[in-house]
Amino acid sequence: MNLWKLSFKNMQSKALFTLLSVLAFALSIALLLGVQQIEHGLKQHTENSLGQIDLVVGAKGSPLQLVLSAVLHMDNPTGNISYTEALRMAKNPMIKTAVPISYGDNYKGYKIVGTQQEFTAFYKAKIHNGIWPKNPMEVVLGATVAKRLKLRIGDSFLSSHGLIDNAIDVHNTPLIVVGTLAPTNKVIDRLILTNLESVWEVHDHESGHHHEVEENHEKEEDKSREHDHEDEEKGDHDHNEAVHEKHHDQHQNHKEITALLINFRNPVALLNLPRSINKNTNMQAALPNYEIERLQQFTGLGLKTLSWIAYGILTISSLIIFINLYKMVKERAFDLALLRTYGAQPLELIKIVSYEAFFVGIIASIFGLALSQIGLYVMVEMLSTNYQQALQTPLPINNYLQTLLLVFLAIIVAIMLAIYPIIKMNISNILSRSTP
Amino acid sequence: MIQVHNLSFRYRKGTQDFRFPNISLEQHEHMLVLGPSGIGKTTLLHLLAGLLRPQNGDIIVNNTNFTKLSENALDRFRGKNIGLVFQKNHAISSLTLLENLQTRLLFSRQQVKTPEIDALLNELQLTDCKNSKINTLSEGQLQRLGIAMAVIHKPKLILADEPTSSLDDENCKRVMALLLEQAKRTKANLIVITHDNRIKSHFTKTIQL
Repeated sequence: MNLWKLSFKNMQSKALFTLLSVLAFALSIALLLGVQQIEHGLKQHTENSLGQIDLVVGAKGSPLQLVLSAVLHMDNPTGNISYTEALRMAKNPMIKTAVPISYGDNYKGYKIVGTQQEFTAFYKAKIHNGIWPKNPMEVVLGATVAKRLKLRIGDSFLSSHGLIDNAIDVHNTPLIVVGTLAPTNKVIDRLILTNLESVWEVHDHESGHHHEVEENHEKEEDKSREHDHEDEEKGDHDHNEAVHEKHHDQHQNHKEITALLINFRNPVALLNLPRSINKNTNMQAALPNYEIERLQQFTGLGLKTLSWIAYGILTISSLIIFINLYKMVKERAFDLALLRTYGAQPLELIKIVSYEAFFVGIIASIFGLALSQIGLYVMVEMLSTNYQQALQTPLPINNYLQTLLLVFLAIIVAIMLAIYPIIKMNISNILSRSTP
Repeated sequence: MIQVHNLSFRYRKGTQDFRFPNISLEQHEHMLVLGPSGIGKTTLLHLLAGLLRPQNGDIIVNNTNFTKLSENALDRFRGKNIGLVFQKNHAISSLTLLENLQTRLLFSRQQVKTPEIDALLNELQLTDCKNSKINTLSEGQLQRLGIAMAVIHKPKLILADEPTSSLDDENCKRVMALLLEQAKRTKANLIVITHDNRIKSHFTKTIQL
């Protein structure tokens, strides 16, 4: 016989009530951990995806859309901007790096982004295998793309137009894989990167509407065609290669990009540069951090509500455990007095009560932890692939410790309140009352 | 050997003191304390058991004046040296009979070997129900368990509070016989506090409160 066994026997004698305490506690722990993990996962995922991009410049429109499309690659672009104008703007001394991106195609749903190698620096992504594309029509794959599509160096594929996988609008120039990137757990993992020329070339080969010289001719031709596509993709498949080459230099000035990603040299630029761009150019500057924070203020509300509910349940669980213990101490006052006549010290009685509470706490913690993981697993299974990565981001150990600390503090408070009658116990008085 | 000197107790300030006669018992000597209800019989019992602190006086059991001990030392002393038999017998209901005895031993911090426990259970005819839950025991079994709980740890002083007052003559005799037998076996002094005159004949020493 020992104190643990006494606690345990006592719990056994009121198994249902003990089970209720465990379940209530487990539920609150599961909710607290689950909410924290979702919150943390989404936040980290977005922050990761922002990389070190301080500012994004693109076509006029919604700044949030610009950030979502050009930085998080989750939305359609606002439009295109002139490469020349963007380059002129990038000469600003406050700008450390400015990386152009241009896109509009996908392969099996993975976005093909034309850019420069500096793009990888935003995400600290390293070339895992192979090289960065040297020539047009060469691509390097993000880690997730390489893994999911099982593509290797030397493989080639045909991209399709738009940002959603489709079999109707397929380009006829194959892209060749020349490298893969190491995994970063950032948005770059889900991209196919190539140089700007590839993107331009794919569309140049297939359209010529921006060839100034041929504009009139172009317009005529356009009229004769079905207008089932947007401007850039209007087909001109029979366009002469030689003509294109001839005008190559000329139309360099009319190249377009989707957005320019900027990293500041000096944080002061944060104040001036966006305003000046928005005012003086026909381009739009958006601050990713600011836009995402604004977005999270809306989306965070649900999670906040959920965590308040979790705290509510935690409070109720603490009350349940307090009532449980207090009931035992009061109803079993005679038993406890009896133990004192056997030679038990008050501290030993307190231990019996505390062991019970801690036992409930420990079992509930294990249960709650399992419950939160199972819950998240089910959620991941049900949600689209884009969020899997975010939800599976492990919660830092500190969050676990904080939650457990909170739970054990609640238990300790419950114990403190419940053991008061033990400390104040008048054995003689209780025994004199004779019948328990 | 039990010595009680000059013992008095006061429940609250301003109320009158209970004064108790001196007691002196040699080894193997037992005593009956008689008196009507309300005279302070239970108070005396609780003082002798170390459950109450006296206003004045000394109680010496096993050569120790336990009225001078600290709280923790008094708990230990009580667990080791005192055995209490109650009028109505109580035990922890979530435990079996045997587990109750083991709990008793846990807090008295006494090592008692299993054969010895079995022998006692046998003497008290409790062997068959040693693994039964308390609420399944009969009145008689509970009464005998009460005695077992008071003697299992071989105390120096067995205190019994009205052990026979709710029993018929037959059972009264049986319980007294068991108490005296166990006191003899454990070489303890037995003090019975009661208003039950039927058991007077079992004692050579009697005090009237």
